[in-house]
Amino acid sequence: MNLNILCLYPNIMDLYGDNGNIEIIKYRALKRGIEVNIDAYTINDEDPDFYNYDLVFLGGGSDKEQKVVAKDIIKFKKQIERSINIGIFYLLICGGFQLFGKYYKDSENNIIEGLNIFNYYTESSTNKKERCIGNIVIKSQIENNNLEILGFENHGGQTYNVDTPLGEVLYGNGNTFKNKFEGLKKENVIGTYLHGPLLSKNPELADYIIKYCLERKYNKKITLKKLDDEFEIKAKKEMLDKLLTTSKS
Amino acid sequence: MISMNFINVCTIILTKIVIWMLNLIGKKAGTIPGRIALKLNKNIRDYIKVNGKIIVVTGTNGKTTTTTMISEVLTKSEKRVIYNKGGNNIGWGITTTLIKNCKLNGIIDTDYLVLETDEHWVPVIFSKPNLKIDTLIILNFFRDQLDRAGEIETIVLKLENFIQNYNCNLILNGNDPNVIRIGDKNETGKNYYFGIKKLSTSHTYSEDKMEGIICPYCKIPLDYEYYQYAHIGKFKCKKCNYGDIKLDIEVSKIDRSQFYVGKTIYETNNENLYHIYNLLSIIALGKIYNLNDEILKKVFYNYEDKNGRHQTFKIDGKVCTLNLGKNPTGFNVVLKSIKQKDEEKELLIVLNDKENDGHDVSWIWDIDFNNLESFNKIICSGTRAYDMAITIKCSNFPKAKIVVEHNKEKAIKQLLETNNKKYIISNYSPLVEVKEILESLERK
Repeated sequence: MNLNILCLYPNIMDLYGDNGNIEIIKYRALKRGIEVNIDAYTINDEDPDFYNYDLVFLGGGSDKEQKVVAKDIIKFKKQIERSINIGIFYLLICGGFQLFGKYYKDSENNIIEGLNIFNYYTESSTNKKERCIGNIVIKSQIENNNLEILGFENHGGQTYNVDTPLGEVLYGNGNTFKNKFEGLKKENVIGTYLHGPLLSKNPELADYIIKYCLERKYNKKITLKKLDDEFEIKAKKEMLDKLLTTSKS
Repeated sequence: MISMNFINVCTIILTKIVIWMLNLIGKKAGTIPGRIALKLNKNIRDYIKVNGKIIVVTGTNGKTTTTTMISEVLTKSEKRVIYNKGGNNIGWGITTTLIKNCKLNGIIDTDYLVLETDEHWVPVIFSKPNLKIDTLIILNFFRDQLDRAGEIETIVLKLENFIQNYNCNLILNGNDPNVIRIGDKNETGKNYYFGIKKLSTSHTYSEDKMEGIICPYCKIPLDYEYYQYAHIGKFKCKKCNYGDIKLDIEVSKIDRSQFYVGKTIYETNNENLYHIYNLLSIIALGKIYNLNDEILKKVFYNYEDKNGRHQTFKIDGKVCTLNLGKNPTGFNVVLKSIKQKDEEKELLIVLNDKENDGHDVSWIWDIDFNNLESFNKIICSGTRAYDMAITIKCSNFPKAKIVVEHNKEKAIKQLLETNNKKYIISNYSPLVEVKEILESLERK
């Protein structure tokens, strides 16, 4: 078995070590004997064939970088829309998440047009200091199991009108200041503000993505071999204990 | 009514007493005295007058070392120098340094006041004429603690705004696209650019994560002729020629510990490229203030860090080198030079997520942990030891060779168990504690 991954603009949209997500997917796949092929597309490269991939990844960048990417990615709108419709998995972090909505209004009131694939939109406060910054824990449903997802959010943009969020906020802000919900979740799309990187302390989520991609590709039920996640489990437990007990007291 | 002057004098006296008391109980006067002074009188810095030239060193990496070396060069040149030791480089710490060294009338009598200053604090502290910078050195801008320090773009915009109509000398890293932008806005003062020519170690692609690879004016990717490390190198915008500058201080050749600037050969005991860049800024400073090249050479050759940056300890005959790694670029440069050494070795990494480290540790995923085969063991310590362990494990270093020990003292003792060469890389907040543990072990 193999996984074909496309990373969009990895040299531009990687503000918070987000590309680590792909390293983690690769590590967890290889440990199970699944081959991984990773291609990158960035400005001035030859157009990628989106339908060739099982997973497409886009991370976050600064306002300046996001503007540059927004101008380029728009030419792929049709391919991206169709590939989502046929079930290719999209993992979108922060700026990448924002770009898939209607628009992003930055702190200087410039509108950056999004791909308009989903109905949500993002607006920043004109006060640059107003940002959602800090550790965050959300409760999500992954394959009918409750899963606490831990990460770090750092965004000025407030995202409104998300119809199917990734999870309920247990600690932190979420899509807007003090929001009840965080991110976006469709069967084959995860959009979120969580850095960390997202998958580093949430191996269950990484496995969900790997399993989804393989089941879709090979059209059969896949059971992934358990891995030694001692570090991941302990790292997560330490943080959850710290965050969730302080928030209760 | 109590006069303002009276309040100022009282603030100075009280703060000096606090500094004196802290020294008495063996504590350094770091941020606390300045914090108290500003609480008592938020405009206290306006009362200070400096009879001498102010030199400010800013940038992401290299501030402390560069500032200390400049002070050494100036002292050896028989000038009177005051500087902020130990990197207290934001508002509180700088206020402490100012009050500690001023008279009751607010006057600081010195030839040079050298202050390393956090990027964000430069416009805050030096906007008023009583604290006018004579020369500002900008070393580099790398991705640092994003949750604390914010994006580079924000810092650059702040400094661009600050420098317009300010009229001071700027010493700028001419190989950093984020830094030379600030020179463009310095219309009234003079710019001095430093950089390094293409070397045999330069490459045509960058091995690290990059920042500022887009032309700030045309918003298109910059063309690089070569990279030295990270985004440091020779670049140009093909549309507007941004980056096509003449370097005032240019290294033409590096031969191990020797580097050539024009006809002059300097020698350093730290051959890392990032360190040579720091030294170039000091050479530029020497040109501005007519400092004797022989003194610079001596300081470059003999300087030894005592602040945990590239500091070596000998414990029971074992050699242990401590280094600071607080952001991906700094960490990568240090790790790369350790990886290259052909020897049996072990590594301890200390990672905290305290306020001054940034609570976000995701930057560790931008460290290049490939090719760690030469390490027999890697110990992870600090509050976020497990995060570090995950990153190293996912780079395919065997999990069985990774040890997690939160307690720094125990981690260091474990590191010292074998006779191999030892390396420690620590991020900001644990550095002093690690250094002190090593010093106490060295004394035993």
